[in-house]
Amino acid sequence: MNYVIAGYLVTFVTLIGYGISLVLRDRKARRRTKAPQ
Amino acid sequence: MQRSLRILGSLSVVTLALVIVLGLWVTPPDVNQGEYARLLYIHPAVAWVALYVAIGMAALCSVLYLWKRTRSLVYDRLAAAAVEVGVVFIILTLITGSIWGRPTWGVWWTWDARLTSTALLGVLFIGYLALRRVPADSDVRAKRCAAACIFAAVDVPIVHFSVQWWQTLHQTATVFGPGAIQVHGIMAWTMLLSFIGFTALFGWMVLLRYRIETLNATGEDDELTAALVARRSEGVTS
Repeated sequence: MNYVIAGYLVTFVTLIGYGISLVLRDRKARRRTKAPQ
Repeated sequence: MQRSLRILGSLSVVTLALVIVLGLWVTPPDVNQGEYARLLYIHPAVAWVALYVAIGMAALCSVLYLWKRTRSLVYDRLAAAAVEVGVVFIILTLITGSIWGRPTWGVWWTWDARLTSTALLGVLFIGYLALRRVPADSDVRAKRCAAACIFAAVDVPIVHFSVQWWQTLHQTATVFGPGAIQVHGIMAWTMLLSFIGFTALFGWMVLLRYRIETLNATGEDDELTAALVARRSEGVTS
């Protein structure tokens, strides 16, 4: 079961981390260009 | 775009939360693989997004950019967004496959045709991302990246048919294999949800990445215009 938990953890932690990085990069880009949403 | 982002984001959160609950607690262990079958609610769907959705979309956008009648930087940016998100999914495909392989095959990695061609695909598309960072005029960069993307995407059919062309440790198609569908009941529904959830998540990520690419390009243009205006005004005063 440890392999299963490791698999789920790696997948979702990576995707959540990458998703957060995208949101932060989007915010930075919008601030830079002062563009509306 | 904001509305599409909201819909895709909500859909992916709900479906993937369901996949975690169903995959870890509700579905029964498999008769052959036992608990390790739970990893198959993730690995095939992640591989589907990486190989077919992401690279398929990037290759299609690259063709549309290279074709003069449809040439637009929109396709170049969409291809760039799809490849970046696709590389994350390719890496996850390799990692989840490796975690499943250790208890079932007894090894973390083997130079099997399916695994090797997938790793090669990852390397090729990391190369594509490096190529995008080489300074050049936007049209020149878009053309060379589109050509590189199409060249790299040739590996996708090789990955797909590798289990039929060569003798591999990796199994052939099990969900839609020859004959009837071989996954049933709650296991099949969990798998279907995982395909929907990861595809929706990919859509959300690509849209957001596309918006970043577009905003950055607009920002660079504005900065260039401001620099040119400042340089011209220097010329007038001197």
